[in-house]
Amino acid sequence: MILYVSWGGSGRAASVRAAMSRALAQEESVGRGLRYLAVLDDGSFADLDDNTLDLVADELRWLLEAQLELTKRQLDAADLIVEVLVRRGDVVEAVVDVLGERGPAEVLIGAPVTPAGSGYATVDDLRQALAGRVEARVSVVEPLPT
Amino acid sequence: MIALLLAAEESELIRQETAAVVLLAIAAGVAVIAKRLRFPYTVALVLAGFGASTLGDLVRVDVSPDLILALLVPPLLFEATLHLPWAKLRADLVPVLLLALVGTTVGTLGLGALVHYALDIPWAAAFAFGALISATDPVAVIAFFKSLGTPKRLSVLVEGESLFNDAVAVVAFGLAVAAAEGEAFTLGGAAVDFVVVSAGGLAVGVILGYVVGEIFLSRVDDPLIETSTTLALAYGSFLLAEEAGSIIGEPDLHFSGILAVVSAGLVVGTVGLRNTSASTRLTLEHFWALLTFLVNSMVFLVIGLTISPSDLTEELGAVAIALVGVLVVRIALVYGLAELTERLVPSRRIPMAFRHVMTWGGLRGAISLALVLTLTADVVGVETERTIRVMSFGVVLFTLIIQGTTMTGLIRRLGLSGKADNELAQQRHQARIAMHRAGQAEIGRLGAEGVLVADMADAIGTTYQRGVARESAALRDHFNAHPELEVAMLLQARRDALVAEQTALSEVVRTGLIDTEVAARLGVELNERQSALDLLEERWESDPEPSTGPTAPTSASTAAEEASP
Repeated sequence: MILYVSWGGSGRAASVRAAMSRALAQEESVGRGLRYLAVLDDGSFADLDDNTLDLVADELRWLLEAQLELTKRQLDAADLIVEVLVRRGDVVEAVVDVLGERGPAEVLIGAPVTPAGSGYATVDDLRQALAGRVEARVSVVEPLPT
Repeated sequence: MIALLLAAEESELIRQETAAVVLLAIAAGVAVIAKRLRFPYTVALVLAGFGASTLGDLVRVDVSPDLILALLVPPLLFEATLHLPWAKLRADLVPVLLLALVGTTVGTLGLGALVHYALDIPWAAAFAFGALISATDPVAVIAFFKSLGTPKRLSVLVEGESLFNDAVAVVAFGLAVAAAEGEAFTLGGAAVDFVVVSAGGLAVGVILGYVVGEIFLSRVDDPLIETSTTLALAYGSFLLAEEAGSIIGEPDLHFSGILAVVSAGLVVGTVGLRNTSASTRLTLEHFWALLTFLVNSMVFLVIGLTISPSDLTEELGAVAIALVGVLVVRIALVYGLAELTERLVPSRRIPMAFRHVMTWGGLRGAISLALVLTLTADVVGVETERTIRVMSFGVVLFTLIIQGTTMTGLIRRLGLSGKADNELAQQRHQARIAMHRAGQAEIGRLGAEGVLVADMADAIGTTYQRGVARESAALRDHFNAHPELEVAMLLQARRDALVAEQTALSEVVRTGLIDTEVAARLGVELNERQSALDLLEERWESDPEPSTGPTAPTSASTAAEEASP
């Protein structure tokens, strides 16, 4: 199972495609699937009230479901199990929570291009912070070449 | 005698009408040429105005400053606010208000002090200049933003600042002129006046905007009537605010007409448009686009007609001082207030590239021109009036011509030009698919009606179908090659779908299928969804520069929405 993590409201298509390819390449025995965790992080969304955040979460989920559906078609992955999770708050805490709730998965850190909003200066800082908190393998996804 | 007077009046009327027709023809010609040469339209109009001034009476229109302020400015402001999404403006209200309130006030005082000490202009007149030259005009800049596809947040910041700083500048200018006229001036009194004039204007606009947007537009479903009402609202809110004192028997009291128009437009744009049908929104869009085109054409041509290059050369020193002052103050205010914004609201940090564009994009135009023309020699003295007028003309001209013509290059250099070649290629594929489908549908209709022989209709239809398939495959390949286009496309599709849902909702209400209360609630929800989408898109437009440093992680995560498709 792959847990793809994005924040800042963004889901770069090239990275999502790369994450799905990794999920497709996994052995059946470890559970082939892609869990897409989008974090409405404090750095980008803390100024919104609860009602607005709920609506933003709704719309984000709609867009991500459509994006994953499209990517499945592009990669001929109709049978792949995909799931969208939208959480608020700190990126690391959200990942820890999801792994605790849903079980182990390889963590792929994706969008956005710049780490603004994640609370870390670089994507690698975030990777290291995550690696220190979870047992799962954590890596930064390389966008799929086109 | 009366016959002679009537004849003279008639001939003056015909002359004015002829001048208006000639100017319109010039504006249309300039628009065509500017579009072909990809030259800024408003700048081209100013230059055309210079040239047209040699035509003498043929283009002489008697445009009083009051006419510009009361007749030409309200529709420009109203149209701008109508398209300014409140959700986006609210998100950036802190930087917008900082720039409009603090920026304009500090600019007024700073520039006033500069011309007072450097040119020996009396204090009141100097502050009048500081105020009138602090009003930015976003028309030309916004046109560049639209054509280059810059991030929406940048447009909101520039337009938002301009709308509110116009109002602040007009109020500050009025206070300075009153002081120049000899009215007792105290800082406290001026502050109270400022609050009364501004709050009164805002209140008039909000109330009228609410009456029209929430009460009238929700009960009437006729594009022409609704559009006419918005026109009446634009002028009515301005007049009512300006003349409020006369109406209640206090002739000295007046509110800010400009703030009234701005707030009325914002209210109608936010709560009113959701109460209109798709056809009304389309009519409104076309009507206001035409009106602003006409008004902008007139305003910028008149700027060119009014400014005499010989005046500028005679007061070159004063113009240079004013120009340097305006640029330095702009730099200090934009960068300084952007820093302050970052401290007050870290999530609304203004990227450095935006700050560069906002600084260089602080063009001056119609409001500055209108205000300076209201300044008369009997209030500030002949010499002072002339110096202020020429300085203002010089600054307006420099910003329009030099800054205006270099904005496109700056935006591109900073990487803020969003419409890349691959995006245009995507649009070409989409347009071809839509065209093929329209052709296919028409052929199908002609075949069904027997106008075309059935075999022929089938053959042509099949050819069209192949074209659609070809373009669809090309579009798919294009997306595969440029996955970054996918997100923008999904957002646009979702937005279109929400508009369609809104239209469908209006239709079921019109046919009486559902209760109006249910419809109102669903309408609000759809509107909120659109706002949420706007917010998401705005945050999606990631900061164009890398983060400057680490910040401590904040609160723990809490579960929100989740779903399993």
